[in-house]
Amino acid sequence: MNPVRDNLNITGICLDINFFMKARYLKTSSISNGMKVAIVIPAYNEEETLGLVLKSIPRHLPDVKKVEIVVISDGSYDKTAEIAKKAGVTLIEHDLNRGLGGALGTGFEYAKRNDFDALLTFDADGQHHAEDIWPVLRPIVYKKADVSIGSRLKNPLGMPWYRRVGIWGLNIFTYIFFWTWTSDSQSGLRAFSRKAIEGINLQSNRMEVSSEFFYEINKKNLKLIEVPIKSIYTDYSLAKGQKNINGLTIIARLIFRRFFSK
Amino acid sequence: MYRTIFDGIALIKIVFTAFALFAWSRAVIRFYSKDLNIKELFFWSFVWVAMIVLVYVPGKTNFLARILGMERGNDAMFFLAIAGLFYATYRLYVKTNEQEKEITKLVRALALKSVKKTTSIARRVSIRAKSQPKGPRDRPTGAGGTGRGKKRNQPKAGHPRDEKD
Repeated sequence: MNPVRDNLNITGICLDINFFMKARYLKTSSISNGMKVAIVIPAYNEEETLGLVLKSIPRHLPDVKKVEIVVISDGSYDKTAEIAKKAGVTLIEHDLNRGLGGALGTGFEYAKRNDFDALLTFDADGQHHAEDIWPVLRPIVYKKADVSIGSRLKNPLGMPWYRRVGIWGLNIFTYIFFWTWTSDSQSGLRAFSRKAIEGINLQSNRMEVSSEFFYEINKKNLKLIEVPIKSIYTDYSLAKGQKNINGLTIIARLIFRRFFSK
Repeated sequence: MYRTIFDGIALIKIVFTAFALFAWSRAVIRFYSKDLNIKELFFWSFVWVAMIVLVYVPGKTNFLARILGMERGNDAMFFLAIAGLFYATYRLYVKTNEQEKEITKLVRALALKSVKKTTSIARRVSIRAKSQPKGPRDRPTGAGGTGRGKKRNQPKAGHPRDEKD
C-alpha cells in the first residue's frame, strides 16, 4: 500500500471523469446554447412541504442559461403564496381553485408567453427527489425527445401496492383511450420541449390531466421518453395524492374527453 | 252532470291540468313583462293547451307504443321519459364542462395579469454583497464582530451557485 500512489490513482480517475464531462459538454453545448427552463410547481394548500421543496430545487443546471421556478398557487388559502414569495420564486395565483389541470394549463400558458425552451413540472407535496430533475430534463435539453416522463413504476421501491395497482389500471385506460403506452400515466415529474409547450392544449381541469397529456402526445406526434425516478411516499403525500376511488372519476372524465369533447 | 265530468278522471289528470295552466299563466305574465315576444307566447300557448287536450284524449299513448313495438302505452311513455332524461343529463354535463373551462380561462387570464416575480432575500443580499467593493466589510466574524458581516456573507457561502452569474 503506497498512499502516494493510491492518491495519484484517485486523482487520475477524477481527471478522467472531468475530461469526459468536458468532452460531453463541448459536444452538447453546440446543440443547446443556453436554454430557458421553467420549473412549474402547482400547489394547493401545500404550506407544509412547499418551503422544503423550493429549497431543494437546483437554481442552476448544466447547459441551461436560466432556471425560473414558477409556483402556481391554485386558490390556496394557507401560507402557500407567502412561502413562495419568501423563497424568491415567480408566483402565479389563481383566485379560485381550478384543480391540477387548470394550474398546469396556466404554467404552460406562462411558458408560452415568456418564450421558455423547456418546461418541467414538479409536485409540491415533496414526493419527488430534486436529483431526479436533471435526468428527466436532460433528454429535452439535448433535444432527444419532446416529452420526458419521470416514471415511478420503473423503480417502484417504497410505493404502496394499492397505489401501484391504481396507477396500472389508469395506465391501461390511458392506453385504451389515447393509444399511448406509459408505465406511469399519473407521474407529476415531466419535462416538455418548446414544441410540446406550444402543441399541448390542456382541456381538463382536474387530476385527469395526467392522462390527457398522453392524448396530446399522441395527437401532436410528440416523441416520448421515460426516465426512471424514485418517489418518496410519506403519510402526507399519500393523503394528498390521488386515491384509487378517484381513479373511477378520472376514467369517466377520460371517456368524456376522448369521445364527446372537442 | 257532476258524474259526467268527473267520473273516470284520475287525480293525475287534474294535477297535470293545474300544472299546465300554471305554466301557461307564467308565459302570459312574461309576455306582459316583455320577456317573451308574441311568437314565443303563441308557441308556449300551443304547447300547454295541446298538453291539456292530450291528457283527456283516451288511448293516445297506444299509438306511440305501436311505433316503438311495445304493448302498453305507459311503457312507451316511461321509455321515452328515461331516454329524454338521459339526454338532458348529458347536455347538462356538457354545459357544466364548458362553463368550467370558461371559468378556468378567466381565472388564468386574471392570474397571468398579475404575476409576482420576486427575488429571494438571500439572493438580494448576495447581489448587494457582490456589488460592494471588497475591503473592511469582509472582516472575519467572531470575537468583536456585530454579526452583521456574518449575515451578509452567509448566502454567498451557502449558495456557491449564486456566484456564477
